[in-house]
Amino acid sequence: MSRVSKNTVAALAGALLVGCFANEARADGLTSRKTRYASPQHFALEVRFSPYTPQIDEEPGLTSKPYETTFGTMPRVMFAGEFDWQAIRIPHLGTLGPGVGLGYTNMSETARLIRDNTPSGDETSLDIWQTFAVAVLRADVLWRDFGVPFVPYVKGGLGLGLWRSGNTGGTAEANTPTGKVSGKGYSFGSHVALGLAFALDFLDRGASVNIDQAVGINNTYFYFEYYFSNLNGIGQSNALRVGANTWAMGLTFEF
Amino acid sequence: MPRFRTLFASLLVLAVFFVAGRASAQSISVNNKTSLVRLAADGSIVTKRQINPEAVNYADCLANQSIQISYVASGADGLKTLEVWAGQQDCKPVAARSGTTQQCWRPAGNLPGAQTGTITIPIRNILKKRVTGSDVVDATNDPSVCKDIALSTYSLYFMWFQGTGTEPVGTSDQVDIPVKTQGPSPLSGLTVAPGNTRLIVTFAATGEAGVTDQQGVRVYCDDKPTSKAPTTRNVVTCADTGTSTEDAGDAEVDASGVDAGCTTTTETTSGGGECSSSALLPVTQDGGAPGLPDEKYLCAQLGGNTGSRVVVENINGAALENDKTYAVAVASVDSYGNVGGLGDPTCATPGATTDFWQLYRDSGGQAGGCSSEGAPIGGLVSMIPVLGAIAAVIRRRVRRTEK
Repeated sequence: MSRVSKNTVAALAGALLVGCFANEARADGLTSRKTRYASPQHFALEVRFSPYTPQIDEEPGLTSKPYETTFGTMPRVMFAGEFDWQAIRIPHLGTLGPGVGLGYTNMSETARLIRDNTPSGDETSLDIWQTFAVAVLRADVLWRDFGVPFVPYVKGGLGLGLWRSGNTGGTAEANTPTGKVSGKGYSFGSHVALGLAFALDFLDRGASVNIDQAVGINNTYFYFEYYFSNLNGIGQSNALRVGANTWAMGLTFEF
Repeated sequence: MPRFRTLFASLLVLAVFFVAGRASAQSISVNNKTSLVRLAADGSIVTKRQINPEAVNYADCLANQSIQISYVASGADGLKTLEVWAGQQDCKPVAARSGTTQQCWRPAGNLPGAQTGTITIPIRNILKKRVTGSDVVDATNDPSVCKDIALSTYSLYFMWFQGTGTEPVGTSDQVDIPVKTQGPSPLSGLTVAPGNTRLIVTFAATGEAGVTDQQGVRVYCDDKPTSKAPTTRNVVTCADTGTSTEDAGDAEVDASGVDAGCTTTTETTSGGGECSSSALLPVTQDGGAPGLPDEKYLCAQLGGNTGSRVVVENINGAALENDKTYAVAVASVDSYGNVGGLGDPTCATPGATTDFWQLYRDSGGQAGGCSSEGAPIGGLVSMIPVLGAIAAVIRRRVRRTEK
């Protein structure tokens, strides 16, 4: 009974919140006016950053944790961008279309001399370029039809991580029984993301209309998402697991 | 009376012509001021540096180069001489060329008064400050004149004279020659860190362009340092807890501080420190300026004036070896091509280092070598038009439905 009560209260609160936003939007009529006079909207551009710790040490068969041993546990920052084509507008739901993304992160540490474990003059590093091609569904019905400034979205597709391990001399080479192995390659995988965007236009709708008229940006969002970049080598026998499951935040511009 | 007037008028006209002629008939003009021809000691034309090409540096002077100047002169007659004087101040006043106030000297003999001509003046004669007499100086066998000249301008004055100890007549010309033979100061803050078959040399950056005149750094290496002050540490080995280390001289590890069952040994560690090398000793060139070691010891170079790090991987064509000690010394080069003194050498021993990639492979990792099987890099890229095409088809169907 108490569980039902809690759910009921939560549902009522949500309804009130939506109703509040909706009433406010309808009251001034700006949302409908903006939609009526808005410039065409076909694309979205995202810029973001996220903490990033690649899943290298999760590779089956590893006898130690080479990534953690070398670079520690502190996440690095992944800077990324994404470009979406909002090819289809599904009435009373949102937009659907393909998108591509590109991100980069780097980690480096001072290498230590093996003979006495003192710091050397060498550096050891790892560069990761994260790319993906996804289908993006943005459910902007709440914002467009009801004036509630939240847009949930989901992305799913394929990811590709290009990586290179380097040192002071350039690309690293490991000595193996079968010869030297160059420290660079790519890892294929999947890319899935769930996120929620907050329409900044809600804060100043007049400015939003002006920006649309001036440069054609229909909506500007601040967003938070969680993504699963499982670059563990789909179709590959040996791949460096450079993907990560982590959150990201940034800005989206629809135009 | 009319005859007297006619005679007076004729004399007056003659006098005017004479005075006017005396004032303006002689002239000289140097016509290659902006790009003076530079000649080597054997008379061949020298290719100039890219930076500060017209300036004279220590090597130019030491090589006994000359400057060839082309001029156009007019007004020569048997009474006048065309002379060139050198100095760092105006040489036209008589006082600058004679007596106790003399500041100029003659780097070359009289110039031919032909309409056009060239004159070759040895650089050393231009730099030889002799401030007595009017004889032509000859310093071509004196390399000491080249040493330690801070950035300054030496000027050549081309002047007509009638008689000795007089003011110049007619029009004169002047050629300015920038000179800098003083090398840059030795670099400070030299450190040599060992890497895997390499040495990483760092030094204090000398500032942004224009603030400090440094245009490069030369690194010299010797693989046979004559001596090296070793770095030692005490190693305490205990039967029960294994091995621990402490710095040399630490009171905690002297005999009284060691637990029973532990022994202390002194071990020499790798790494750098000051050392000496017979190959990297400062040398003195002819003329007394600091010189550099044989070029076979040059193991790295760095251009520009903002870098502070250079990696040495080879010496005399051979790769550096791990666990072998090398002596390293550096010297800087200024924008005039002058090389500063060689700093004290520092020793370091390259060695194998930890490396993420090696550690990954040693841990059983199988990736790498760009040999991973499966989808090629183009796989993802090729998906983009496919996704786009699918979206376009769906969009078209949606539009049809809307109609």
